[in-house]
Amino acid sequence: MRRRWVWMAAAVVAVAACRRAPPPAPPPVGFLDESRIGVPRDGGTLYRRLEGEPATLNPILQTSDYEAFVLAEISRNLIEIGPDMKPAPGVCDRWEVADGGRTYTLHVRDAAVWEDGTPVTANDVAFTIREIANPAVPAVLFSSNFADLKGVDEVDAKTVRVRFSEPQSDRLFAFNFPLLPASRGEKRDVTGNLDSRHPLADGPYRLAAWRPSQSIELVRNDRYWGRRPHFDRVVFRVLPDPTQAYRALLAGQVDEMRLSTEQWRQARSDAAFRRCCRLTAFYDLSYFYIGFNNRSPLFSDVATRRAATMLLDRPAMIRDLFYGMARLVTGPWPPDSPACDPSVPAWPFDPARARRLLAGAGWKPGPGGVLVRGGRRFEFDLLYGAGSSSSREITEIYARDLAAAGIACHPRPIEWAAFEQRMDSGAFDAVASAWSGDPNPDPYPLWHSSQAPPHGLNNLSYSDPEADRLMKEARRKGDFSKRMALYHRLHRIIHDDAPACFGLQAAEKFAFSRRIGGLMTTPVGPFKFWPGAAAWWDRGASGPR
Amino acid sequence: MVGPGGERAAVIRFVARRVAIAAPTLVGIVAAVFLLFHLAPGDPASALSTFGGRRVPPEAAEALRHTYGLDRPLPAQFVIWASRAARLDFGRSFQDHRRVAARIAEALPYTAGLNAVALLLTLLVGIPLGVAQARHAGTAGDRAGNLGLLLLYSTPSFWVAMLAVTVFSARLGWLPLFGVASDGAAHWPLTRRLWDLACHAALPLACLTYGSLAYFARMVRAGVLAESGRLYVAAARARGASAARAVWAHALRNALLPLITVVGLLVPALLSGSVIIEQIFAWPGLGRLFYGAILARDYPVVLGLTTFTAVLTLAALLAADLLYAVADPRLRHE
Repeated sequence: MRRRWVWMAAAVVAVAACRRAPPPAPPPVGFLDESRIGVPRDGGTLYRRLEGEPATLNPILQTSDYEAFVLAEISRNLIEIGPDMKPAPGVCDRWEVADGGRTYTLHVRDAAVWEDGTPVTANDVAFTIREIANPAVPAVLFSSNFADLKGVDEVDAKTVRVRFSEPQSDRLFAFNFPLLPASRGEKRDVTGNLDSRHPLADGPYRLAAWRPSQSIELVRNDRYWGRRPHFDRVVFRVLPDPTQAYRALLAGQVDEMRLSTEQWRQARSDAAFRRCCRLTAFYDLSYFYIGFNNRSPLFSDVATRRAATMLLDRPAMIRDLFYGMARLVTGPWPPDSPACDPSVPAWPFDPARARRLLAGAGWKPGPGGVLVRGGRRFEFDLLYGAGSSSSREITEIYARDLAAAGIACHPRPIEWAAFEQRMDSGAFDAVASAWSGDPNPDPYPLWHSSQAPPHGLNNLSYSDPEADRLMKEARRKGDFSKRMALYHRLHRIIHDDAPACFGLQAAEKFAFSRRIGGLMTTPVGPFKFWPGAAAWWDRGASGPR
Repeated sequence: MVGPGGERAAVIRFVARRVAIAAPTLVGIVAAVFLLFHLAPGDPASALSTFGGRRVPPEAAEALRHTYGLDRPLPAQFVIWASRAARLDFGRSFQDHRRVAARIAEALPYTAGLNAVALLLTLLVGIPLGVAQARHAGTAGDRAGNLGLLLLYSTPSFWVAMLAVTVFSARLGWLPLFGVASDGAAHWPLTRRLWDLACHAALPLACLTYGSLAYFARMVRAGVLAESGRLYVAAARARGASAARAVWAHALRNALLPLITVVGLLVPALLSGSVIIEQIFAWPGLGRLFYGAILARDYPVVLGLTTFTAVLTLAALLAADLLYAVADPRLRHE
């Protein structure tokens, strides 16, 4: 009898001793800037990874990141976004805003040329803008920016005047698109194969080969008017499967990839990874949120929405789901956006206060422990796009905390296209999703009451007259700091109204091959600003090939 | 007894009847897929918002729907599509505006090649394996073979694929990780390119084949066992045929008859089984095309591919039935 106890005690001790050591503290999250570290060398091939096949290389028909990444290397935008997220010269080297934000005069660089040597002219700019505004051309990413276009005039060979009917001084972001060459054929169909599969380059690289669903190969554009890129060739490999992409990274067949949280953890303890690659993490402009339909009888009052916000245990999620590599978001703009007011505090996780707010809003305990108000049970479906594991984990935890407060929440995954349709039509009570970062801080398309479904992207049907007024006023402010001051006030108003629970921002995690020099990460990531990947070089440090 | 002329006429009548049934079947399949796909929530405009995270404003989405004719009533859309399809014009993809026929023709060689070799391997390895098992039925080797084939048949292909890649590509480095060809292979001599293609196809082929191989081998074993107990096999042995000849030349021929239909059914099964394998190995075939088109609600590509697969399936079944009728005289006289 005694010996059995001894064995059991020994087993317990052994199991306790085998308990895994706590994971090492996460590395600091921050931006990289190695653009001035080391001496750039010319030559070599850069291997990039694409998660999906670009549908088209027509600059105005692009819809996804896959297209944007390739286009960023073969073409320059009219106006670029710089590392500080502000408009920077691109094909246009200077511009003027006049008439209260109704007239934009753009000056095309003298040196700008296409890959065949012909100059980039005002005619190309005017042609591109007219095609974007053409309702028969599905330029879905850009057409809404030119909805109130009155006319495009070619003042001379290198100057374009664009006239709008609405005064809006912050339209420079609207010109962040690449150009189509006008002179490729009088009556060509812009949605056809010529521009989609055989783009004419005006950027650091030009298209050399496109093997559909396999790879896209670019070579240096010798006629490029700007600073020569260091790599001779860039090869984009289409690798949809993330595990295969990780293996390709280790084998040196791709030089960069975005990592999920789980892959990050795996990479940190992988000796083979450490030999060839390095990790970096930073916060971009996207963040996760739980949106409440402000028109639903459940969520139409501020007190209920604030209570629901205070029942999301964000600190625990940051600690347990993201291993500390996430941070709170307090309002419509994430902390790194200049429009975010850093003095606005986040709503705390406070179930007791939430229960008091709900009671004060008229919710009374009903049958089955579920709150009832005006004969209606506090029960709803929380929709999210299937396939997102972080959405699933977050909504499961949230549903549990809501249930403890008497709210019956049912997380429901829905296939992505169907989910988007529900969002756009406003046919939901609550959704869990993410807002992707946009360097243009203009809140009008997402938050103005006129943009509620089915007219615009204000899916939550948020409506506040003071906020509407501030949004319209900010659009007319030419001065950047005055506009940001208005945005700060909006940040506080929207935080107080709590139309959504502005949840948390998970750090973006990237792996880069050790041989890449000149890396830079910004709040828009490593690629979506100028110069992005065009400034990288081959350090020549060895890695397995 | 029906004479030879009457037999030929019977076969022709048989084929004509089957083709006459196949046409409305095809229309029914395509109409059903059209209806189901349009009834599913979401459309090309809402699917656009999903990739890359940038939201498409509703006005732009409406304009898109109008450009694609999606705001017309469903029967009108189907009639327009069907009348073009009857002239073999399957329209243009919503995603990249290329002709649907061109996109299918681009992906077809990769899927057809892989699946043709998979089918060949299934037959070339499955038949001898099944026969060997049947000849040694009841022995320890046969029982071990049964267990092994059952295990093979039960393991999911994506798991096996991951395991195979980890062992043969990542650890041992014997085979490539993904893709169809190595970098720069376009400039190599033909023999080196063929060897490179074979190395790239080895793992996807293995993952595609093992499941149908296990299934087919077990069916061959069962069929041969059933036939081996019949009187004509004993008669052949009595006439002096060896055990091997009795099985291979007599029992197997009758055992293979019902398997002709199985092979006919394997064709569409192999074509559709490729989606996961093609994603994992980045193999640019029809499976990936189909999957991407469904997610993007690319109606022309989905309908074009459905028509293509339906025609292929109906043709394969018809060919199997014809072969069966040719091989089994009992059927011809009915």
